[in-house]
Amino acid sequence: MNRRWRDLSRGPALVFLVLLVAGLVRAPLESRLLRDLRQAGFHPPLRGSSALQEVGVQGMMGALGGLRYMVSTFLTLRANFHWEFQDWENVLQNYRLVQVLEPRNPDVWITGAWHCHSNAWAWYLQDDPAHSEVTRRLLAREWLERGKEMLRQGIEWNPENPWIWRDLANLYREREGNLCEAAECYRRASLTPGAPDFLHRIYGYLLAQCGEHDEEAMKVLRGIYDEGLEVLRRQRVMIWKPSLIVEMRKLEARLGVPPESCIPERFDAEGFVIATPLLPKESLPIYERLLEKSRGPNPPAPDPALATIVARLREQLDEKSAVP
Amino acid sequence: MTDRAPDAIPAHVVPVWEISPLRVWVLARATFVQLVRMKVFYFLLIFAALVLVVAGAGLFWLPTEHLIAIKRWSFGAMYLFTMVYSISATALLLPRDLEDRTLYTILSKPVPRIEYLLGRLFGVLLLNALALAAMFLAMCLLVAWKMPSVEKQLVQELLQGAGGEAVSLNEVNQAKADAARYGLSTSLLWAVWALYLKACVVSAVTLFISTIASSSLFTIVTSAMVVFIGHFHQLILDFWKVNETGWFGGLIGRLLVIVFPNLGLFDVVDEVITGTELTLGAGLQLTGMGLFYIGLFVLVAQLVFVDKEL
Repeated sequence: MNRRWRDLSRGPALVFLVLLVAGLVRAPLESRLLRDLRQAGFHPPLRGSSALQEVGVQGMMGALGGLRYMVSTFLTLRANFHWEFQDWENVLQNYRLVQVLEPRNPDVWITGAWHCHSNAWAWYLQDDPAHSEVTRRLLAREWLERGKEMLRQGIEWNPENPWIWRDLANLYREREGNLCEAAECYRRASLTPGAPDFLHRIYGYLLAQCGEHDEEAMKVLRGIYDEGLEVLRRQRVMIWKPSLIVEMRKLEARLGVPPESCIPERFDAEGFVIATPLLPKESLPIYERLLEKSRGPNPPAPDPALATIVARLREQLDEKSAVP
Repeated sequence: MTDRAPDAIPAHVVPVWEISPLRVWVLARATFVQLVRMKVFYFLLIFAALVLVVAGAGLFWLPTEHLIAIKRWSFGAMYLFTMVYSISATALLLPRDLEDRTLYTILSKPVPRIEYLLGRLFGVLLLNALALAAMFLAMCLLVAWKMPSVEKQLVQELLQGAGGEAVSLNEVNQAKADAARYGLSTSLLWAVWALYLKACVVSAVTLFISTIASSSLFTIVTSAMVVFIGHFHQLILDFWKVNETGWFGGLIGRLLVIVFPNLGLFDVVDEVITGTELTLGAGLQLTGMGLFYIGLFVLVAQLVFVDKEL
């Protein structure tokens, strides 16, 4: 009996006991690690339309193990294959699977939605031979909505990505002509961390063009204009664009801004075209022209900020030409 | 059975501090050479061909997708190699040593059994490490080669995406930074490290199973099942939340979660590929967890193997 017990204690029972104790020790450590990883953006909690679907998704992920990313690439390729044959349902189905597998990748939402709101939409409107015009319009509308829905889901998963917001904004602008909604999407895009500056500018333009929020639009554009002034004062890069001046002038007219509060005449749209330090050769003549324009009648002194920029650009060009 | 006194410590059982690293290294090197002779490195040729095809073929629409695809396929191949190899190579070792009597030759010398186990395990891990390093290097070279063209494409897209708006130098730099996020980063090192840790854990689990099993086939199948279940931790936990399983179902589920290693923890590759950064703290915790599992399964392997009649 004793020996039997000893053998057992040395054998499976001891092993099981060790595994059990180790499992209890590691459980809190694992929970902490999982929490830290989730905070860093790893192991996203999965979402399904129902709790059971969620479990199904988890099952699929578990079954795939470390091959999830490879399977997702295969599915993307398969979707591309179906795209070649305008098999939109299968394109959508494959992209939905890809989105389940990697919801934190914004590209899969952007590309999947693009197939819906641009490719399928255009095909039903123009190339679909099987349906009448009315049906084709209905189908095109349906695919547009699918694309919109997909982008919204993508935003839920990636709220800090500006490009999904940008695509949703472009959908409203180009497909539905809803400039106010497009402006709102651009605003949301511009608020995401690391969003490029032009998103904020386009928000201002669209707000000005939508015609329902002129005062707010003026405030936004004035802010960009003032920032440009500040940049100019710090003698760095000119950042105004022709559209800014054009839109501001339109708004000034609509809002009846008194002439003394309008943007000065010398800041003409003609002058403020692209002028970045990337292209000193092209920007020099523009700044020279601006410098000429800035010479007021009394006293006839040029703008010192512009004069410095011109001098700097000339220096840059001289340095470049001096290099053998 | 032997005639030794029941409570006496067997001669082949040694305290941890008496383990000789030199002997372990000799055994590991012998294992490594033995495995290299099995021509496992030919897999690297297949790997190279695969990533070259992915890198060369214009299969994807977005430039970033192309970079992601190179990394995904490379990591997918690495994953397949390490998993299959960790299971099969480790499962073969003990039965083969028994079959060709090498085990008796080794253990008849003053080599404690734990040293034998560690030597065999480290041999497998060494080969895994070298193969992974070679594959990772090949992937990095390809990504670095593709990077300038992707950067150029992204800047072009930025110019088009601005809808006729001119973009500033700052914005161009942002686009370049975006491209860099999809390129090479230190997090990729963490990803390959996590993959390696997972392979090490699988090897340790297989080693443990092979000490119990009587055949290689049984070891391979059981280890594959353990790997499979190891990826279902989250599912099991979530299943309880959704379904009322009763006390028995709950007990079984909890036992599975406690006893089986959670291999899903090491799956950080996908997020790293798409630009998520793994922090040093999380990386170190992951390493700690991997080492914990390896230590645990070597310990239970030793518990079984130390008294095993050969």
